[in-house]
Parts: sequence; C-alpha cells; structure tokens
Amino acid sequence: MATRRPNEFEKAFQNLEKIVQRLEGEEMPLDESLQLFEEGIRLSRFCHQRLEEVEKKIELILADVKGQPVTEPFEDEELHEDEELVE
Amino acid sequence: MRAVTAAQTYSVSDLLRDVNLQLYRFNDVSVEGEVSNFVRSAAGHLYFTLKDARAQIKVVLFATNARFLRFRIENGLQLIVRGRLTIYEQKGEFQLNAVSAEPAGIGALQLAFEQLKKKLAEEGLFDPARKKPLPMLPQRIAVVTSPTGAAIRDILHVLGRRFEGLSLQIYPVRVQGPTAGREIAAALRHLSKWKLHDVVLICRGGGSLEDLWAFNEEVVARAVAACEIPTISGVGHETDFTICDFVADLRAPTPSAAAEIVIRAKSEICMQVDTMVRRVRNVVESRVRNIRHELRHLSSSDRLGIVVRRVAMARERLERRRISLYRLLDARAKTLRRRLDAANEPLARFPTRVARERQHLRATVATLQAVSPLSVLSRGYAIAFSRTRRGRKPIQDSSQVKVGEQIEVQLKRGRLEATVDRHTLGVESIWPEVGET
Repeated sequence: MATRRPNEFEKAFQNLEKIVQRLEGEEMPLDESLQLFEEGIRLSRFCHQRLEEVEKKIELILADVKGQPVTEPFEDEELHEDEELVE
Repeated sequence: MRAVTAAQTYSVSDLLRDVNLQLYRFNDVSVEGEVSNFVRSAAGHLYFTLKDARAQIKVVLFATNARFLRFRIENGLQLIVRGRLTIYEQKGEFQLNAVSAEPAGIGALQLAFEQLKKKLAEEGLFDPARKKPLPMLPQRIAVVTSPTGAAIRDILHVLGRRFEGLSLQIYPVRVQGPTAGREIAAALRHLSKWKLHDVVLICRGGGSLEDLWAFNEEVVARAVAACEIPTISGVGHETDFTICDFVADLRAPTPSAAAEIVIRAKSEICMQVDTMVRRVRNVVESRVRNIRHELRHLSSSDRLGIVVRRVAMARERLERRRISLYRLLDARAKTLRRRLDAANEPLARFPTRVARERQHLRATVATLQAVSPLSVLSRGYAIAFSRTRRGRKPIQDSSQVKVGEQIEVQLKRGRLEATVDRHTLGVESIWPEVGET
C-alpha cells in the first residue's frame, strides 16, 4: 500500500473537519466552543490562502543530459484561440 | 527382388541439400496449428512444435525476427506461422524456418494486450491496494503527453479560466511510434525522481489500438507502477482501455476527464472549506442565540416567578425549621427547669421553717411580755425600789426599809420618790384594802 505523508493543507483541512464534528456533536462550554470557532476560522483562512498561492503557469518541463529538470515556455496558438472563444 | 542400390547413390549431405532445393517451392508458406513444446533459448531464438490432430512440424523463429513479435508465443496458442520449409542438415530434421507469427482468430495486438494484462494482474500491479490516493489539493500538475497533440489542447481547454492556483508543466513525449513507450517511461521515471508535482497526468487523444499501443507496453506499465507521484491515466476515448489505465492510480476516460478530476478536486475543496466554515458559524451562532434566549427567558416574569416561589418555599422551610427548633429548645428548657425545681425543693421548703420559728419567737415574746414587769405595771401595779449602793432593788419585804428612808416607786408611766412613813410586818394579803393606800 502506497502511503503519502499528508501535507500541511490536508492536515489543516482534516483539523477543520474535526472541529466541525466536535462543535456539532459535543456538548461543551461556550468558552470552548468559541475557541474552536476561532481555530476553525483560522484554518479556513489558511486553506483558502493555500488554494490560491500556487502561481498560475503553463510550461514545458523536461530532463537535461544530466537528468535534471529544465523548463521552457509553452506556446500554443490554438490555446489562445480557445481562450478568446471563451471570452 | 530389387537391387540394393538405386540408379544413383547420394552422400547424406548431397541428399539433404538436394531436398532443400526441392523444398524451394515451400519458400514462403503460412501454416496454422497449435503451439506445443515451446522453448526460448538464451539467445532469444524460439523453438516450438506446431500441430493439428494428425501431424506436427518443428518451427524455429530466430531472435532477429522474434523481437518484432508483440505478443508472447506460448503452448496451446493457435498460431499462423509464415516461413520457409527446410531440412536442418546437421540433424536431418524437417522444420519450418519462421519469419513471423500471428495468432489465429484474434489480432496480435489484442492478444499481446490480453497477455500483458494477465501477466501484470498476476503480479498484482492492478491491485486496488497499490493505488496511491490522489492528493486532496493537486495544484502542481505534470502532464506526460505530446505538446502538439489533441490531448493537451483538451486539457487546457477544460482548465480554461478555472486556472487560479494551478501550475501545469508538460513533459513532451511522442505518444505514437516505436520509441513512444520508452519516452513515456523515461518521462515518468524523471518526474518520479524530481517529485516536483502533486499529480502526473498521462494523456493521449483517441486513436486505433495500433495508435495507442505505446500505452499498452510493458515498459510504460512498469514505469507507471513505479512512479511515486499519484498518476491519472487519460488515454484515447471512453471505450479505450489501455494497460496504462489499469496500472495508474486513477483512470480517466479521456484527457479532458483527467483535467476535470484535477480541477474539480480544487473547486470541491474550496466548497468543502466554505461549507465547514458555515457549519462552524451556524453551531456557534445558534449556541449564542440559545444562551441569549435562555437569559431572556430567565429574566421574564414567568421565570422570575418561579424564582420568587422558590425563595418563598425556601423561606417557609426555614421558618418551619425555626419553629421546630424553638419547640425543641422549649422542651429542653422545661426539662431543665423541672430539674432545677427538683434541685430547689429543699430550698423551697426552707421559708416555711423560718416562718414557724418566727411564730414561735412571737409566742415566746408574748410570754415574755406577759411576764414582764411592765405588763404588771400596765395593769396598775407599782414596783417599789430601795436605793442601795449597788443600785435599785425591788422591795419585797417591808423590813427591807426603815421608816423615813427614801424609796422610789415605779409606775406604768413615771416614777415617784417617796418616804416611808411606817411599815407593818407579817405576811398579809397582797391585796390592800380598798382606800387604804
């Protein structure tokens, strides 16, 4: 079974899920629920931030003679036509 | 009886060479039969027997030709073999020297596909437990495909404007032709080593089985299986299944669908995060609302009335307890008082004794008074005293005084000083005759 180390985003997401479950499923003092609420909001901000943080780009990647990655710009006329059509 | 020798006697070599020449008209024949006794030599030459119900023939397929076979020859396979008939002179064996072979009744590629599929399945390469989960948020995407093919255009079209937060890197490979499989495998090995991406898409547009063949090659299947980054295979149309599809962690029906999976993952995550935030808010807000409501309810007259009643009840209870406490104390006080009284009884009796003694004293005093000279005096008697040197002395005998002697007479009130004029002797009645004194 191949397993993958859960990344920060997944941890934050899972913690947010747990908070929702606890808030909805447990009786707890108001203080505690407000603390969980704050933590939940913080996690959701983190998730949103991570969702947008990867820079939008399209490029070519291939191996050089030493097997190291090199990138090149990717140009595709039809893609631009498509984008114009969408617009 | 025939002669031992015929018209002509051959040497063995000459005979076989001659026969081989005669066999020239079987220089290019195809023969169909079932494979048995299959052997593959270390050099890659293939040896087997082809047979039907009544006859069999030895076949040899040398490595130079065997390497072009796309399927594996195995015993029991119904095969059409093309080649020329010869006699292997060193052994004198009749054989078919094959140049190619095709499975009977089924395409070679189809057979090759089935064979590889069976082999890899037996190795467990398609095992669901081997499948790596796709990352929750695939943002850095690698696409192994032709940069000029239909697949990449489909993918970019699907991503379209929903591109925020995604990076797409295309690893350019040929997706068709004899080198395609090796190129794809090399690309996968590099990407797996670099680990720069969250997910690898392996894509090609639609085509014939021949066109898609690279994705059915074992070298590709092995590279996909070994790739440490989760893989999505999107090859051909929905109805096309490739070995690559079976080995990949996820099979998308088309390249567009592969792109959909990636983009949907992101937008679904966005939605899920938003939903969870909403749920968290709902819970806390309703919690606060409930508490506020409860407070209001508590402070309303109705609820307050309960409090007042509760206080009144408590007070009443307190009162009852106080009363019973009083009773208890009272009873105790009474007991104590009784005990005190009991203790006091001798003392209480004491005053009656005093009274009795006082009465006795009064009686004694009365007796005293009765015998007091004063009381005699008060009845009219007088006491006569003679004066002596030792004071006054009551005169009880007339001889105690001489005539002319000064005496005192004590009356009830006052005193008389008198002189004795005469005295008579003898005992006489104390009662003087009336008028005599």
